[in-house]
Amino acid sequence: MPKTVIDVRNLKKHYGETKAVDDISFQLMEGEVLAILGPNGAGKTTTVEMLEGLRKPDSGAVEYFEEKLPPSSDRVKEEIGVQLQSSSFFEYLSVKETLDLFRGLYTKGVSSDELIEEVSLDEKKKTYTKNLSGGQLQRLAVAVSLVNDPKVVFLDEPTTGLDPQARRMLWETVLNLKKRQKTIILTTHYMEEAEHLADRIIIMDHGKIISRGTLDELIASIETEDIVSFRVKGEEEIPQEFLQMEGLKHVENRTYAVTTKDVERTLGRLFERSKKFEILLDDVTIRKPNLEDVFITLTGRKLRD
Amino acid sequence: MSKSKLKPMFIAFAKEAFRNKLEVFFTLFFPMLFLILFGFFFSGSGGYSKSKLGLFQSGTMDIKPIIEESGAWSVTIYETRDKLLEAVSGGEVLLGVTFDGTGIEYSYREGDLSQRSTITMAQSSISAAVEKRINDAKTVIVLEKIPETAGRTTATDADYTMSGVIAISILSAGMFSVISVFGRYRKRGVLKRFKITPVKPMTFILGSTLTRFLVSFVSILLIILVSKLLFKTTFQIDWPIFLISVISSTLGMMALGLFLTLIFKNPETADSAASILMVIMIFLAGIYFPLAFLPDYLRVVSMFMPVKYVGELMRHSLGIELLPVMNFVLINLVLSLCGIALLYFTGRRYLKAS
Amino acid sequence: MSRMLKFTSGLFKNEIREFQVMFWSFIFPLILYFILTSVFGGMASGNSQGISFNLGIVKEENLTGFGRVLDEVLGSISSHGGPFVQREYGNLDEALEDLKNGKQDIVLVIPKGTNAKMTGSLMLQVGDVPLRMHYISGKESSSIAANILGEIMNEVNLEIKKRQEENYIDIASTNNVVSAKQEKGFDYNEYIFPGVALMMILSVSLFNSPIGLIQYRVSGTNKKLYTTPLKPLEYFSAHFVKLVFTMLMSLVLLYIIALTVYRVQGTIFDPRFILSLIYSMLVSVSFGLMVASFAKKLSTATVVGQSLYQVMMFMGGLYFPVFDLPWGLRWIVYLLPTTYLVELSRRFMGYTIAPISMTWLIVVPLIWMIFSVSVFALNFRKVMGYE
Repeated sequence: MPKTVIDVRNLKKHYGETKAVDDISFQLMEGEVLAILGPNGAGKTTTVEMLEGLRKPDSGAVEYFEEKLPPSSDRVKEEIGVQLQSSSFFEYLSVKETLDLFRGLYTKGVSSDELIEEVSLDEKKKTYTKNLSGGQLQRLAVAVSLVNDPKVVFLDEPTTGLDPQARRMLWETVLNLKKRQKTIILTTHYMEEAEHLADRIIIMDHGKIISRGTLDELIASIETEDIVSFRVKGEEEIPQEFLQMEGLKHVENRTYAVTTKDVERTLGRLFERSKKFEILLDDVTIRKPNLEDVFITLTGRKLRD
Repeated sequence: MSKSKLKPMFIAFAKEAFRNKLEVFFTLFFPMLFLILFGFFFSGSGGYSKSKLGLFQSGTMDIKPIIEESGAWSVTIYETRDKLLEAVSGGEVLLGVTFDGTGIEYSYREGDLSQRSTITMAQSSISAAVEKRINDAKTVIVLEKIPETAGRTTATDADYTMSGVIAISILSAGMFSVISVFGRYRKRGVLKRFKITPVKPMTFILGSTLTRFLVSFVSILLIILVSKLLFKTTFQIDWPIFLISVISSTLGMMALGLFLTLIFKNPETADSAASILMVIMIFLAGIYFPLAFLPDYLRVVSMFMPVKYVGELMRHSLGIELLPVMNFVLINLVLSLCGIALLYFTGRRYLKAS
Repeated sequence: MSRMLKFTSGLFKNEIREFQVMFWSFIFPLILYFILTSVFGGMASGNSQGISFNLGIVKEENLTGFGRVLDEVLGSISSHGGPFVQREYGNLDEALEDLKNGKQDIVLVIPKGTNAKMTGSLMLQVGDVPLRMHYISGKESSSIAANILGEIMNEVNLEIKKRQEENYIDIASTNNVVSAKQEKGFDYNEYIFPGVALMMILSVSLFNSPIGLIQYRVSGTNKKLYTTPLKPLEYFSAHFVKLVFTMLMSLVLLYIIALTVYRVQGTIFDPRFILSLIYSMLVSVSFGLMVASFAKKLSTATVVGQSLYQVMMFMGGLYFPVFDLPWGLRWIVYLLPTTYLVELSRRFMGYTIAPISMTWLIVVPLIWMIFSVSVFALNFRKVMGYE
């Protein structure tokens, strides 16, 4: 029976009138990768910083390891590793010196050479951090979060700004950590990342948790088997009567999608209506629903809006 | 050159310059700080004032009138030697004179360099005057001192000091501003951004440097105003000449800053080198105190300090010390040409596609 | 403890590798030391060697007979070691033009009839010998040169009387330096040493310290450190140790230069002098922390730091005594901690420059230190970026 690593209850945080985090509760279980997914401004980073002890909640509780340990306790700090959203280190220390420095702040940990190899920064071992590229800095940040061989690792938008190859490399690192039984809490606004890495996903928007579960559970929750999407050709105005098709949702520009449990019937009606209203269709595709569709269904907006 | 592009460029740079706290500080308020500090140190409070001497005398002869006749001293008599020494230690008097009829003891505080020459003068003139009176020595050689004026106005020492402050202000505004434009902007990628627009290098240079001229002028006008109020300066400004001098001096000081940005790629390093140069020039360019006091080898160095010549231009245009026409033209030409040449060269180097 | 030491080591390495830190803490003060001693060293010691003014001479008649006395006098003041470099002019207009152009500092005119007047005055003791001296009013070099020549002529007059009079009375003059111990002469290189030392200390405490604290907060480095077991007190102790170490390094360098290049004497090894430097470090660091409390942004810290640095340098008596300033400015002098700190160090070297008692030299900086530390303590969370 996996243990509860972090227990979050009725957490709230507001700044003036703005409710950054609005009464959220969840648990992080040992050995799992929990992704907190949501658009910018959803409250993900605020939530995670309260778990890391960087911010004090206005109300609610965060307790660690089933021992009612708050995030600020020494034991918790020894056992967590944090990769922050914006990485900043001492400019004139090299990669190795930075890792050695942070390693020296903990009572236990792993050697910096191991970590350098793990994040593939061997060639940049002696380079000052001010001379690292964005991707290299991000990898260093992940390495720094692992110096104390933590039980819990916080990764706050770890692949933002990385090229696809660097992103893939980081995903590999996270999956390796998972194999080593690390408990990981990951915030992201990339649904592919959450789909690829997470055991469970929490979707946040406007400070609230709007849905949670495994990927399959989330997709099943919108009760959709397939999605038919298409684009309307040309630039003329699309008749309103055409758009009054059941289940039709606007995606962007002249692209629309229909969620359905009966693809054949939906396609038939679509072509019938397009013929009736003399509308030319393009890029008609049929696909299975994904997290983005879950988000659109729940909020009426795209994840990236 | 397109005027339509120059205007938005100039406005943008002007806004940037005046909104940049650091730049406003170093170009406007920093020279003002120097003005006030150095003005009081090197020129006193701006008016004619007598130096204070203390006197304790035992014996029959009263040397107070002798001392007062010998120079611009105001003499206070003290009842005892101890009280006199106390007054010297406490700074109430600059020099203490103890006379017992046969000898004079001079008491003073060391370390006050601004008063060093005054103390030395006082010692020799008082001793000579007292000895002359005691021996009833006739004055054989009578030296008539005839004051001349080198400019349009009979200048005071405050005028000379303030003209030096203005020269330093131009140095500061010109030198540091181009390090900001061509150093920092280059490092941040701002120049690169302009490079891909249709803006010509010359338009960019004019837009950015016109702002610096504006800042320079504002700074100088502030200095002139404050120096008139605080130090009672007697400038008689020849405005057209003044304008030409400020423009050419600013260009010349920009040349210095550009030279540093070309040598030192890192703007912070160029800034540091500029700071050293500024300190060296403040002390070695004959601006605040005479070159005569410098050792020979340093006097040679001062001949190579551009700000020395800026100081000469300022004194000329403020009516303090006139330059021969040839010298005036030559200095302006050299400063302007160096500035224009380096601006052109630097502009092409950093703004044209390689 | 080892955590704090490791963190201190990282902080120190990061700091010392930055060129700006090296420059302002080490290089710039030493350059200023060199410039000040080169410029003022000769002036302060009263050494007239090296000082020379340009003297233009216009002779309206050739000097012969007793007139040659003047030639001898002019020759002696223009020879090696004398204060003048002379040049003769054919006519007054040319000489005056050079005077106004700055090529000459003064112009001496020996008018027609000088020979006859010299003969009459020296042989027959009848009449006097008028000479004219032109100088530029307001120009310091010209005024000083004029005064020097005036004094020389006074001495010449006395010398003439001395040779004529058997019972001439010489008035002996002695100097009594109230600000230094009698057994030592004034040494400018030694006098300026505490000023330069304090300058090095200030550059670390007013620049490195507040800028470092704000930089790490603004860049997010502090945030990362707060997720580690490093305690605020450990962080802060490391910062303090780093500052002290940087200051000590710069002072050691200064000691080496002062002893080897400028031959400054052993008073700088006096334990009380060294203690005064340590006291200065503590006061300055606390002052810098107060600056960090008031500055939210990096640019503000830089501006405030620079302003305070310059004001404290010049008005704090580091290089020139400042107690003759008008009262409009003198109150600032009495307010600044550097005024007391530099005077305290100088007292232990044997100089008494400022009219301030020993008690106040210790108490006023102490008040500043307590005040600064209190301000910082109240703003600690804000400065360090704790939520």
